[in-house]
Amino acid sequence: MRELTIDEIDDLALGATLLGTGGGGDPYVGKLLVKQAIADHGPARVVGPEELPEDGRVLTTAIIGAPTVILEKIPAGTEFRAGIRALAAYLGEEPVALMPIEVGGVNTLVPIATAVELGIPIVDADGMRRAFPQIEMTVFTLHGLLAAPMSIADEKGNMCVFEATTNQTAEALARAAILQLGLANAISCYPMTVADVRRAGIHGSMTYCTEVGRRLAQVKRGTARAWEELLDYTEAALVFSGKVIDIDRRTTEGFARGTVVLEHLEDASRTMRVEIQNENLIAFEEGEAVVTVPDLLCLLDYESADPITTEGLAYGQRLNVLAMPCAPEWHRDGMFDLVGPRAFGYDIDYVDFRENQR
Amino acid sequence: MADTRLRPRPLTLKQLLATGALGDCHVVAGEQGLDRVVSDVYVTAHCDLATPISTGLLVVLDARELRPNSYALDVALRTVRDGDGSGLVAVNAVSATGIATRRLADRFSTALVETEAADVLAVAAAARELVLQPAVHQAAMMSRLLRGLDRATTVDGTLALASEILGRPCSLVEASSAVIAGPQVSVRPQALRQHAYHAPDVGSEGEPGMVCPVVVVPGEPVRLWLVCVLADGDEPIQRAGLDLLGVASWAVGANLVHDRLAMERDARHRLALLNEVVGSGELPDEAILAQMATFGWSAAGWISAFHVQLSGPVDSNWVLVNTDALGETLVEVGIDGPLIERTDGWSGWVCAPAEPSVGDYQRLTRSLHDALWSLVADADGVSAHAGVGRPATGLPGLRAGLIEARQAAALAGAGARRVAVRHIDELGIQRIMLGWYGSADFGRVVAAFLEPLTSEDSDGELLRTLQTYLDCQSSATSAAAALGVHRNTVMKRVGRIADTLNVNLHDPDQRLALQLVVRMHRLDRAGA
Repeated sequence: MRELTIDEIDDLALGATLLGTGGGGDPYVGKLLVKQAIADHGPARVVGPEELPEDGRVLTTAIIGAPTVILEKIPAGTEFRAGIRALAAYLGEEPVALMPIEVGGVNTLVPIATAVELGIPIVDADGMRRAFPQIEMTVFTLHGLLAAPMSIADEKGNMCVFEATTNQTAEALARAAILQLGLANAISCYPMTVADVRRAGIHGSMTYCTEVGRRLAQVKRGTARAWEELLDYTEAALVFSGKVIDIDRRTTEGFARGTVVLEHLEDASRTMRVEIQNENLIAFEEGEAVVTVPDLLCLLDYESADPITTEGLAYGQRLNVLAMPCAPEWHRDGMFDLVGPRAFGYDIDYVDFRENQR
Repeated sequence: MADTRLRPRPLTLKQLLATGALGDCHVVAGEQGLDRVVSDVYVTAHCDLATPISTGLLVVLDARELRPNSYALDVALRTVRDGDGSGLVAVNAVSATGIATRRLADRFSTALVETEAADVLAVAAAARELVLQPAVHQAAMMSRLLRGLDRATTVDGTLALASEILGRPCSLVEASSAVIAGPQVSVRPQALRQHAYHAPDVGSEGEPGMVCPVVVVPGEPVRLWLVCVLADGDEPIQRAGLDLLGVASWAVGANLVHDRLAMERDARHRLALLNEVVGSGELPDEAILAQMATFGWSAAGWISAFHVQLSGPVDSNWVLVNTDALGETLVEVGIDGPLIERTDGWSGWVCAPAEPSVGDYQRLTRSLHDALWSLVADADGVSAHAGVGRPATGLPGLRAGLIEARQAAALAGAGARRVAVRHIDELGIQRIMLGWYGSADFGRVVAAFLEPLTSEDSDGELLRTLQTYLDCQSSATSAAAALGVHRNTVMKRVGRIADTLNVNLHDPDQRLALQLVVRMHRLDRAGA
């Protein structure tokens, strides 16, 4: 067990923005929530799954809704505790710790604030180590763990707890509920034992996120060799540097879809096409996919190295395109069906960008 | 004259769009690719790397189901580019093509065309019909050619058929670009290569045309070509013509093989009869005379027989191929009679109503010499030695004459000259040697005696020098002139030979023996 410092929280938030791959909600509000909770209730304690009793109950919490709404409708803070309590009461079991479902975007930080408020530790693990738009897109699903029973709560005290037989049904029911609850709500799902976390979770993802953030901060400060360090640590590759020459945004089938076209900064005849569905999913160059989901596709400002969210993209921006391998825990049977290009409606095969880099 | 029969020509994408077959279409990007020739049309609702694209293929993509600004168009463009397709037609796309796709089409120089159509399949079928017209036309011509080849059993017939179908004269030429069959055509000798091709400058005046080697025996170097020179015609027309010419070349090859087989069969029959004449004795004379009559051979009057013995890089095929040429040359020099191919030369005779005079002998040997010289002049390493028998009458006379001619040829072959003709009567005293020359025992003695010299003289230079020296009456000056070397060289070599063989060339006995040995050795070699 260790305590999270204020500096670490800044790095964690920056890392979470990068791992959000353009989506996942802005971690800024989450960072404020964590800092306020620490000021009110004392330090945040981070534990590894091996430090907890095997049969202990671990619950999760996260913001669920539409990214555009979450930006404007600031959480009250009470809905996360309410959701946890409702699910704990339904299960008849109090949690020994909380855990983020996704380390990437705002949901990296919300569970820390809630854990501090509840006086329990936060587990250094998650189910994605990046951001994904749907509840079932976790390594837990690949391990056969159910998202239900789950709770959804709003800031006014409305809440529901429900069961679902598959994680895809859980996603559908949750979407139906949040439509009525204001599109920016607290969700608690994937209730699991510590043994489940040990078996199925992506371990050390909060530490990873903090380390990524710390290195990115050094890049932003202009520290020597900081880029190389970031690329080495994440095994990432810089696949393109270009200027935005076209943004085409469409909202279809409940997703914020879009296409961004970049023109190469040095060779104007080269273009890269980045396909977006809430997150940056696939990059094409010369009509060929060069980076595909579930690997991470991050757009960073060419000068400041700020990670650019999909809402922040604008014509004329100069960007670096960074490809980062997804957590190795993803590479299991069923990965392509769950989070491969075809899961998002792209009729192409997964491409390991590292093979092109060799 | 335009080569109209090879039209219609393949369409470029620009020409295809101009026909209106693809409806009211609009080139979105990649204009640089509009001059590509369209080889075929493929209609699909999904184009990615698994789509089979061939060179020149035009992909018609049903884009109705694609999302606006879909990446799928990029992937399709990439696929078309990678497969060397001629372009991409997006039918019924729901929105304007995005900038990424347009830039990609420009970058690839692959034309991207948009069009609207109620029935995508109908549009593609109409385009395909136009695109495939040249192929359909060519197939029809090919079919005519193949049907016609049934009846074209001769080289001339095949050439006439191919010329008629191609609309241009087709000729059979040999390596010097001389025409062997078909109309006269002027082609650059460098244009005759070992493979079929078409080029814009096949003719000697720089005309376009097609050249196709004629393979008579697989594996043998090509010696004959089928050539068709066009008055004009661009690359696709030449290519279409080349395919037809290729098929015609097989047929010409088959015609030639057929001719050669017929020649070989006839030669075999003639040779068998010759053997009967010379006296294997199985048939009565009346039967032999009857068979000779069927070949048009006469044994009437006074017969002078001759026997030509070839040596060097020749085989029975060489003999066969050169029979006609030799026959014509012999007629030109006044030797007009049967000429029968053997595996290593020819036998023949001429008939005269009255007994030939001594002057006639000389004329005959000189004429035969001239004819043989013109035969082997251009054939590197080939020697021809001939003998002429004494004139006699009737079949027994012919038989005796042929045997004498063979003996005379053997003696003629003992000399160092490439072409030599001897009349049996000229030989006189040399005939005494004939028994010696034919003796196997003596052959073994020769080989053993010369062994020290042949073992160190692998290219035969010393032996040649010795022979020339002895034939020149031991004159180093004459031998040097004959060999094209310096007199001192000859002297030095002769000294070395004398040392090696341990003989004294100043001793007349030893010199005579050595000359016999050398002549015998030469005869053996010629025989081998």
